[in-house]
Amino acid sequence: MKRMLFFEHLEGHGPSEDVTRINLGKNILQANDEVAHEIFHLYTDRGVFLTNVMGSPGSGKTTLIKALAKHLKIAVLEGDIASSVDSIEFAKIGVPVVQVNTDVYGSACHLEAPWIADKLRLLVEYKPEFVFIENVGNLVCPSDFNLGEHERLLVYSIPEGFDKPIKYPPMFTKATTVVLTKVDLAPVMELDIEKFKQSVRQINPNVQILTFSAKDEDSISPIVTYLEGKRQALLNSLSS
Amino acid sequence: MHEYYVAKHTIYQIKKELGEIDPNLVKSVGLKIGKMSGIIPDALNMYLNLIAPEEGLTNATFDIVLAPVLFQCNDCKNVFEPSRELFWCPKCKSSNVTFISGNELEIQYIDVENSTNNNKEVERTT
Ligand SMILES: Nc1nc2c(ncn2[C@@H]2O[C@H](COP(=O)(O)OP(=O)(O)OP(=O)(O)O)[C@@H](O)[C@H]2O)c(=O)[nH]1
Ligand SMILES: [Mg+2]
Ligand SMILES: [Zn+2]
Repeated sequence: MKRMLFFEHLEGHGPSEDVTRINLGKNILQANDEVAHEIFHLYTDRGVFLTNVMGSPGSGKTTLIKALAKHLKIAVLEGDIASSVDSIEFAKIGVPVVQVNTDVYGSACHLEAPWIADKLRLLVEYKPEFVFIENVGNLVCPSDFNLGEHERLLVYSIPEGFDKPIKYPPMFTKATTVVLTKVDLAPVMELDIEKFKQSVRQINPNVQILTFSAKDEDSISPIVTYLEGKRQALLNSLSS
Repeated sequence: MHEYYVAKHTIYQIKKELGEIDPNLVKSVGLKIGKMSGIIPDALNMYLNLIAPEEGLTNATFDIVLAPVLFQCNDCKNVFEPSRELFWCPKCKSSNVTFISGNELEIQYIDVENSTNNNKEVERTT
């Protein structure tokens, strides 16, 4: 019989006489993180800014990346459980894109670095300035897996409501940027954008929060400027 | 939902650490899971118990310790565990705080049953 043991702390629960304890203190995801680390260095050395785009299904990840493609020199890695629907969108507008389907990995709800490393190495050869990974649509699972990115960008849309930062804190605390999308729907949803920003800052005080609406072409500009600034900082760190 | 994958990583990492040691000799494995990781401990434990026997760890139990979420106040340096809704400093009420820890996904220890062919190099704790 397997038992499940939860100890609040381990005092008084040391190993018994007939066992030898191997002390580790090691990261469970070490195999993932080693590959992620290698990708991070490849992208950093080449001056390519790598962004891991995460968010719920339908939050507006593809729409946002397509809007950025009009202003930035980008390539895209599309992660979906199945299909090539999103990557066809990018191919149509001439953006270098590779598709990764997780149905070969048991329909995973996230991407792992070893699954995409070869494809990220390939995309660098197109000489983009930015590479966007569109992660599998999910507000929880992708947050634990480092893919070697410089930026963890959470796309969060107005119709998802007000309470998610507190209900899904792992994603909101790990994001370096939150793009609040579909702000054109704010009046319909009666959602106060300032209040929402406050609730995100409450659990992640250092996060950058930007807004976007696909209905307003100009709304992409601050996001473009922000990402260009981030890449410039990366380039400056290389030459210093 | 990704607990299955984290369980697979756990078993992979354990077997890598074991090297030549027979996985059947593993009695218990200590895991430290941060409360701010996206992991539900019960689900992780369930998948570990499903996958472990398939991978030869037929006698292993998994002891999961939950690590707290810790923030530090940048104004008064107070380290605190935030309550469910309030992430600001309980001492000076500042909201200028930094996340310190709570994302851990760690293997703390592996307890291996002593046997004649046991690897002598593993360190013995006091
Ligand atoms: N009103 C409005 N609709 C939007 C906006 N951005 C995206 N949408 C719509 O939202 C739907 C989903 O957008 P996508 O960009 O496909 O979302 P996604 O996150 O890539 O979705 P998955 O890849 O399936 O997880 C589409 O019908 C978009 O037209 C916006 O700013 N305003
Ligand atoms: Mg999409
Ligand atoms: Zn304080």
